[in-house]
Amino acid sequence: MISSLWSVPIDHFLGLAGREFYLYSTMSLAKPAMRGLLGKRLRFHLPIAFGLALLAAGTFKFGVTEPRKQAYADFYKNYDTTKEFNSMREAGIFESVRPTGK
Amino acid sequence: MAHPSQLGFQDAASPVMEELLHFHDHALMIVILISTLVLYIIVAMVSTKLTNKYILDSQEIEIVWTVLPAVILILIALPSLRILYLMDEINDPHLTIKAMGHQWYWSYEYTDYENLGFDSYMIPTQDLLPGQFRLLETDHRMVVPVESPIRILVSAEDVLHSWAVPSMGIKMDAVPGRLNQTAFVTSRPGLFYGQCSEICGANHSFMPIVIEAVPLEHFEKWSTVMLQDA
Repeated sequence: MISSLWSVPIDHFLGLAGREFYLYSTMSLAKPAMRGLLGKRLRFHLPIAFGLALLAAGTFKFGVTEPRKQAYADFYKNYDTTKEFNSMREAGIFESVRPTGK
Repeated sequence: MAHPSQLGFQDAASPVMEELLHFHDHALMIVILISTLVLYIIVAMVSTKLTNKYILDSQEIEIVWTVLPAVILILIALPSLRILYLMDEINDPHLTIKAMGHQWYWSYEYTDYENLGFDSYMIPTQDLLPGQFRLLETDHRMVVPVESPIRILVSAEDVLHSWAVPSMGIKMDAVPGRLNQTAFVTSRPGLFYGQCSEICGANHSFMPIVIEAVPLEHFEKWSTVMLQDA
């Protein structure tokens, strides 16, 4: 009794005399994942999202914030108020003091 | 003053403005962090057909997206409150100046020792000398000693005005019948420009402010000359 189409000798269809081939249901592809697809996608993308966000914040901090703080510190570290005032005075920008002409 | 196509703040000319600059950088860093995260999540969510319509409760993520924003807010609030109280400190000013808003000019009164007062009108464009800035120069500047704490009392004689100098981080409303107080210290000598910052009529855009910061001895000579000329 034929229980399954898959156990019919193939030569019955192909006319191969003296040879029998059987196709069995165990020769099949793995069952595809049917559940948890969104979760899998989230588990993949969320760490990347957080990582990129931290990278962007770190880039801004060390590319803009810290250099700006350092620039101000460097500017005022050796700032000579009198020398700068005198050069501005000689440039003639002030109204309260006129250039000395030196 | 601002330069063409400038996007950020002007260079700080007072310690308070430096603190404000650094706080703004800190807040902007947090904004960039959140925006990058949200933008990535939006793109990841719209580029798939996968959905989950059956989520219930999900206590874990609810805790995460409640606690994380609270932590971020605290990280913003602590430096903000620090600067707020820093700006309110007034440490024994060396000088008090009154800035009175009028339509459409400012007047300054130095009444600590003598009665020195003068008006400060904008220089019209056609009268500018080469190198002067359009709509920013005034005929008489508010001269102050550099690196000295100055108290400034702001009020108005007619309508609302606002006395603002961005490079020092100062903005104070000039309200008729009210005396508002603020203080500043100039970190370096030079000229610092500002403009009226409260709509006050036709020439609201044409009543600028110029602070001229010079060493103390030159400030004293200037005030003596001004008193003699008055």
